[in-house]
Amino acid sequence: MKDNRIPFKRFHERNEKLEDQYDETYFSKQHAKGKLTARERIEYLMDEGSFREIDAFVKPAGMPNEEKFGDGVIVGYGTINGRQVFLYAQDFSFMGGSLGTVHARKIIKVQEMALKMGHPIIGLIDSGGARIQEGVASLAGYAGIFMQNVKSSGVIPQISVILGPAAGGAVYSPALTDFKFMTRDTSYMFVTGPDVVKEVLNEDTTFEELGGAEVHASQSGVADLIYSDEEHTLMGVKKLLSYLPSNNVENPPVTSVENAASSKIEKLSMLLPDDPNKPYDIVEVIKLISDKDSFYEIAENHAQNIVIGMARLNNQVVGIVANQPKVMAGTLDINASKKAARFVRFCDSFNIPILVLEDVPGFMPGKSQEHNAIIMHGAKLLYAFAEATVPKITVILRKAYGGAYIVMNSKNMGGDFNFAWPTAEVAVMGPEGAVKILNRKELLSAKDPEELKRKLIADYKENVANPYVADEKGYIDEVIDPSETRDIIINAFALLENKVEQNPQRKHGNMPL
Amino acid sequence: MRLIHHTKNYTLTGEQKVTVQVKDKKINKINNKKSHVEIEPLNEEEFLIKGEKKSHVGEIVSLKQNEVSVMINGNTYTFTIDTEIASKRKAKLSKKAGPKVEKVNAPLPGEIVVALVGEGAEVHKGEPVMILEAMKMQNEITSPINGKVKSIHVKAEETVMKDQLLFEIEPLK
Repeated sequence: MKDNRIPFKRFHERNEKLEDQYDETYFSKQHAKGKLTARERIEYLMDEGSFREIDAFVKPAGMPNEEKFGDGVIVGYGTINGRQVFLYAQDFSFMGGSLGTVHARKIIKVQEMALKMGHPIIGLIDSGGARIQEGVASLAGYAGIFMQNVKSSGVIPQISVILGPAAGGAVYSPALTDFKFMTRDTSYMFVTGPDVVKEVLNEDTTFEELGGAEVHASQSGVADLIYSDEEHTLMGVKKLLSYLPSNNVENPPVTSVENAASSKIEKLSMLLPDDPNKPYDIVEVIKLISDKDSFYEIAENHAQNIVIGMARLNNQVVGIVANQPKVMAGTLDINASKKAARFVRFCDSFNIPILVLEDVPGFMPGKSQEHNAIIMHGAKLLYAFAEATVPKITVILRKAYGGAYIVMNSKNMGGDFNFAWPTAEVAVMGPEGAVKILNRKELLSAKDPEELKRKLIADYKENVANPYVADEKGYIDEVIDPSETRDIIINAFALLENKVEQNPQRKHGNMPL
Repeated sequence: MRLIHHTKNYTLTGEQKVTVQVKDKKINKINNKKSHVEIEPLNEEEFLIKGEKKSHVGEIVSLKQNEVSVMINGNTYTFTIDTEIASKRKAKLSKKAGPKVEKVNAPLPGEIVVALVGEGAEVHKGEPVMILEAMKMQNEITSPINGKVKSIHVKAEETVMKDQLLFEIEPLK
């Protein structure tokens, strides 16, 4: 029933006017581009009827006669699967979603509210960039958003969903947030567009080549998750959120599924090939160890030699970092180190325990890696693991050699539990390399060097490259049967529930960025 | 505010294109013809698909985003599911772009052990095309798309540098 007393008349009129703004043309314009409107996106993402819009009736700065409300962005709050979140959605249909001062003020307002109240914030980004008409004031607006991004970093999860263009200054807010989603064919991110590239560098390129979803998901690693359409992208956001706590004080949400173990868990013992030089797919191992259908891989097309993602173990959320022997032999290179380091730091910020599955032959050698500072980038992963105070467990499946062994959450880097399968090889370097160095003279003077080399390699494997030497010295806590891995890790994480560890007080560490 | 309709149209693209209309989470129309297909779960993995005349047992082999493989009566069908908007957009884009030959480069320096298929062979996405030994590992170099091997640029025992062109795959028409 409508209350038609005088004070309510204006209230209703105002609301109707706002509704009228979202007419047929509003929808058809975006649909023609193959995109959804800001309003539809919100409805897909949020629980039905839960979204409350705030600051809906603002007008753009310096345009008091403007008919349309909102200044090109819808902001507010609501629930996703029952959990409170704050949200802003840029509306491309109003001045190309460009960022004016009022537009920026609205975003900053919800950012502040989200931080104060400790709830995740999600940005749905579809904007042509700074509003040129408003000049430097709109740039200041960006600065305000970035400041809030940095203040909120590590306090509340921040998720950016790029559903259209994000150019120039607009790219840095997503860059500062924890996860970036993109949609194939309709979303772009770049600092300077193809026009400027052409003018300055005389290089021909397209939106897609320069900053499309595909490029950012595989080459640059800027996009953490990409999907083929907006509906899937928004469903992905919901899925990711189901693993995250609302802030850095809470623990991640626990589910209550009984018998969550994979029905094929006994396959674990048979997964590794007999020949240690044959690859296998680590994702299969992850899927067998974790709760059924619970593994959610992040950045799967970038630096594929390392696999990261969220999973559940007996209904508890864990972050997984695993070498992928199937790609580049699972070596750690610059991109893999960066990808894993950022993920480890995210997990540590938000109380998500970390499980490391290790099969790594070493750091990637070569001029290109060295000249591009693998030393500094590799150190990031080292720093991230050493700094993390959440429960950390490592299982060595096969290779664990040299510096890469140390980095991958080894016992002396603070690993709380370090297990190894009987197939593990823990040593300073692989058999072939070690034999060449240790037995150089003998090999040179041998009658049949090949035969001697074979014998020495066999000896090395027997005496050095196995899990037992490390186990007997205490660098590994226990050598375990692969088929028992899941139960043993679940128990170890349960033991670690009360772990309290603190780094010394300081302004902040000086991470090798 | 109520914008999401409970009738939705999807395009399934596999060996052929099929449009499916879903109304209240049930299949309503297939290729614009009214149809009565019901799907109910049998156990953890299998589903019973009840058609108008016959029933079949099917299983989801893999589901990754919108790429699906299902097995029905022993046959595997692979297809993608797109919403109406996305499939229209894709149709527009593919007209512009045309089929693109995929070039595959060496991910790291090493030695070619063997090429597993020859030029002209049909390969599926993810199928190994050659083995590259590097970092003491027999790395499988796989095809990025479903297609035909257009050309192979290296031979067994050849040493390759990082990013050196190994082979090209052209998409099937």
